[in-house]
Amino acid sequence: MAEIPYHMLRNRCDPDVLGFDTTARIGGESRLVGQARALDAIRLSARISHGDFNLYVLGPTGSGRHSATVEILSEQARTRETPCDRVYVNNFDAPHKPRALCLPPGVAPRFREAMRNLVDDLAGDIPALFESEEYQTQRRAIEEELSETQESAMADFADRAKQENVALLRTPMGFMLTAIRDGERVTNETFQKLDPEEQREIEERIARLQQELAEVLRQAPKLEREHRRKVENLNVEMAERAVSSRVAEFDSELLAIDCISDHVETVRQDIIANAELFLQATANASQGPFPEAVRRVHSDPTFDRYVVNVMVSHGEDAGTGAPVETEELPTLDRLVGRIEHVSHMGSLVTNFTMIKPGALHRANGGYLVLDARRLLSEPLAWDALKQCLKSRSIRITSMAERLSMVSTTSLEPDPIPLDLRVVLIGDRMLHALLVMLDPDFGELFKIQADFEETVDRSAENTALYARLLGAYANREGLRPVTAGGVARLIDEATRLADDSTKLSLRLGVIGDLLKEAEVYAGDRDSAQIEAADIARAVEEKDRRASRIRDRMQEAITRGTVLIDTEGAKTGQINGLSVIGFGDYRFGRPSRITARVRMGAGKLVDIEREVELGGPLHSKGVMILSGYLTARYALDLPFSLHASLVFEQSYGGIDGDSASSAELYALLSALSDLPIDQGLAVTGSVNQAGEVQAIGGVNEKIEGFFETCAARGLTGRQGVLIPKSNVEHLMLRDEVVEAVEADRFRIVSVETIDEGIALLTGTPAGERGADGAFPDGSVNARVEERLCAFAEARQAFGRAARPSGEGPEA
Amino acid sequence: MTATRTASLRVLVGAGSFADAEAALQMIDRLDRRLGELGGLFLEEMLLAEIAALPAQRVVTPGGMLKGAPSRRQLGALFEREAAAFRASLSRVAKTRKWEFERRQGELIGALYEAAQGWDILFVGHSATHRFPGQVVLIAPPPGAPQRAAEMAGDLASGLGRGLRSLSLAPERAATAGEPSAECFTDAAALLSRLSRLPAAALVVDLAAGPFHGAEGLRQLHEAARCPILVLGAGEGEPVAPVMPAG
Repeated sequence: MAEIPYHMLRNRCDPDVLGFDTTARIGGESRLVGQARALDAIRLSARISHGDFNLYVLGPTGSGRHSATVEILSEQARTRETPCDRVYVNNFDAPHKPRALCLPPGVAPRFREAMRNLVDDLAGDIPALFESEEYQTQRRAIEEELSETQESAMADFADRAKQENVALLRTPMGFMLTAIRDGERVTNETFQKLDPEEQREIEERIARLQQELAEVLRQAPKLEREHRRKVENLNVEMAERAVSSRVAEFDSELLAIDCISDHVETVRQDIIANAELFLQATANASQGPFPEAVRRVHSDPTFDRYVVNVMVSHGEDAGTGAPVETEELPTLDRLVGRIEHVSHMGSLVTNFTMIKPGALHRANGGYLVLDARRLLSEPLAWDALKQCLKSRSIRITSMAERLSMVSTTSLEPDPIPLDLRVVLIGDRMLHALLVMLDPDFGELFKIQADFEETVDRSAENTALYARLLGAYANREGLRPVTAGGVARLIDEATRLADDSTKLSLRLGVIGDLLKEAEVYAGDRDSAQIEAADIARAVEEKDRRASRIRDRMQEAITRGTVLIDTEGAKTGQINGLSVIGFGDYRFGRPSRITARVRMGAGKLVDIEREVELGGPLHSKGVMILSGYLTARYALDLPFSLHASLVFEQSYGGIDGDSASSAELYALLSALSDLPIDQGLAVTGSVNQAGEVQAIGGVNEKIEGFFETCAARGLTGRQGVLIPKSNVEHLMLRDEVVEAVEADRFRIVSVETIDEGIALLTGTPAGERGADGAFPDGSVNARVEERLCAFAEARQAFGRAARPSGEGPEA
Repeated sequence: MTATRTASLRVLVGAGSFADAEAALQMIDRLDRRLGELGGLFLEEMLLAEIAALPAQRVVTPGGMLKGAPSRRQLGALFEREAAAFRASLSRVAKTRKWEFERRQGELIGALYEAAQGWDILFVGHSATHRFPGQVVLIAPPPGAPQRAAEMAGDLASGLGRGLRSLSLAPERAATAGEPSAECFTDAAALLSRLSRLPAAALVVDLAAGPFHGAEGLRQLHEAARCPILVLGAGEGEPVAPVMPAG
């Protein structure tokens, strides 16, 4: 047990050791401090070429993990090859399966423009060729040839019929034949007068000629088919001439690329086969504001089939290495791309020009940084990402398609080979859940970069931290920070770390303080941010968040919540608890009381009985029972009935940091020794009676200090803390000043015996060689009381059993 | 001549079926600018009923199918429908012009030739026998005769967007060399033989100017040409066969 000297209550950074007057004097660039392990992991993931070494960056928000990750990835990306451009083009054989092409970086837009020019030019060239006299003449010749062939066949038949004295008659239904006899057409009447032989001969002749005529007429469709083929051949010949001529002028550098050359050849053949598209487009062209020569035909949907749909191009950043992409809203569509539809005649239609790229396309060949929580909260996005990483290809599938929600035409684009490193940034809880629940996660994300929350407050780290703050101020365009200001920030980082030997690496919080201090420095028209500005920022931040704390302190001051800070009471002690709202935490005292009587060895935790106590609190109380039974009246039944309660506590309580206070209250009640109410206690205890470290020690001390200060500090008031918490002390200046002025005290204890002695002013007492505690000591009084309970219980048992009661012989 | 070209023409369209009439009426639409009064004459050749009654008589359809010949009653009903369609089509083409329609019985060419009296033009309908009708063919009048047929053929060819081919008869002259669109024949049979092998879009002839005259000349041309025939001067000759007004 020792009172802690004031200089140990706050580890102050000396501005003089920082080695600069203001941050304007130190360099602008600085790396994160104390994150070597995480940064090495990021570097490894960035460099390793094998798949599945994707990265999960875990750590607290505001630790600079995101910017550090992007910075390292960007550095590594600059050393890597710029990935190829990716485009989708029409698959003329299977339009629902667009083809993906991989082009050298920067070529895609040029290819797209070249194809547009090709279409625009042919939209002029092809109609001109088909309107030419040359084409018209050849076409007329083919048509005349057909017509003459048909006419000749009919003429030949007519001649034969005439030679055989048969007349050809036209009727609305078709042709009829009849014999000519004596220059007259034979009718039914004249026919009947002929002799049978002549009738048979006429019938035979007519029947034969009818068959011949039918055969002549049946030749017409065949002849027309031949004609159509000839016209098609002529069209192809003419179109080929125009298209080949124009294709020969195609960008030769582009044609040197195999896949472009192949596609252009396919396009050439398709245009030749579908030259009528260009003729129709010209025929349908409305008179616009621009002359025909500058009309941009390629924008006509008819020519979508020749479009080059650029999914991703690295033209602008050619030579700058691989891409580093961040997708802030990683929905399924924005991640893997989407296929859009348009409404046409009441139905949804699409084509390959409506394929839109996603983040995976943009990042392909480089790095993609995603926020893990956002990714996991987007429906199907995580599954889609895993599937792409597993198959190492990007396959676009819409959510509706996956869920079979709509039935409409869709596409099956060629999967695009995927080679990228995905970096998820998230918290530790998510990482743990993914490891535990998703077997794929471990396979795909083999590297983790675990960002530290704190770093040792060594001289070296302090200097690096100062440089980091200077770089931050420069990067954010803030005023230079004086050495005093930096020292104050470093102290605040220590406070944030809850440890006087550490610095918090939650740079976001420290950066926010600096930005707020910038405002106050501006209010003062100061060119620099000074310690006072930082202090004001801390104070104002505390003030903004402290409404509930103030109301609670007010309730204590006004006696609404009963807390004694003077005098002594038996079985009553001031415990300390911490209340947190987001990032803001504060401490407050709570009255803990204990009541004892003879019983059957039961320790009642009232908080637990009414389900206001959490499991850790219950555990702490049960440890007390273990401590008592193992320490006192070992040869007698444990005959205590005790109850413990946090008075005026109406919310849940958890944690075991009040277990030592509860034990002190119990010991006070058992020993009937009053406890000094000017002291408050925090610390957990084990069954051996050792006081153990707890969290939030600074807030707890400050909470009791404020209560005491509001009522007037007496110099006897103070807080008992576990000795192991001494190095966590980073108290506010007002507390330190009060201790320095002997108006408040902070005492560290290692054992319950130390604590109870201080609280009761009576020695705890060690068990002597005779096995007994010294008379009058706290422990002796406790043991005596427990023995009395046991004996009373035995006596009660004997008295309660009726005489003669027992089994009969 | 200018006066002739600008004067409104009275045109009589004659046909034995709606399909034939429709082919002529579509061409008349192209002559709209010069069209005045329009007449329609549907000829019912009752001889067809007699011939259709022949034993084993069959009809060869334009598609080359052989079907049973129609009975007299069926033929009568068919004529009724065809005439109604002809009349409707005629009224559509006539638009706001004066028009008249008549049905007669008799032999087609003879009846049309006789009915053409008083009309400027007789248009003998004939449905197309092939998909790509060729040029407009002119039976060129002999030198010295009025050349109004040539002008009319030129207008028609221009209106139809077709070329113009001229066939002429000149017993003393050989075929014209170096003029593929003008052919000259030494006898009518050769001309008709050539005509029967030409895929003509339409034939234009002036029966008053020659070399073919009268109904018999028109009949020969109709038989050989198998296309609509625009006839000038038909009203200036004599009918060759008696005709009876229809029912």
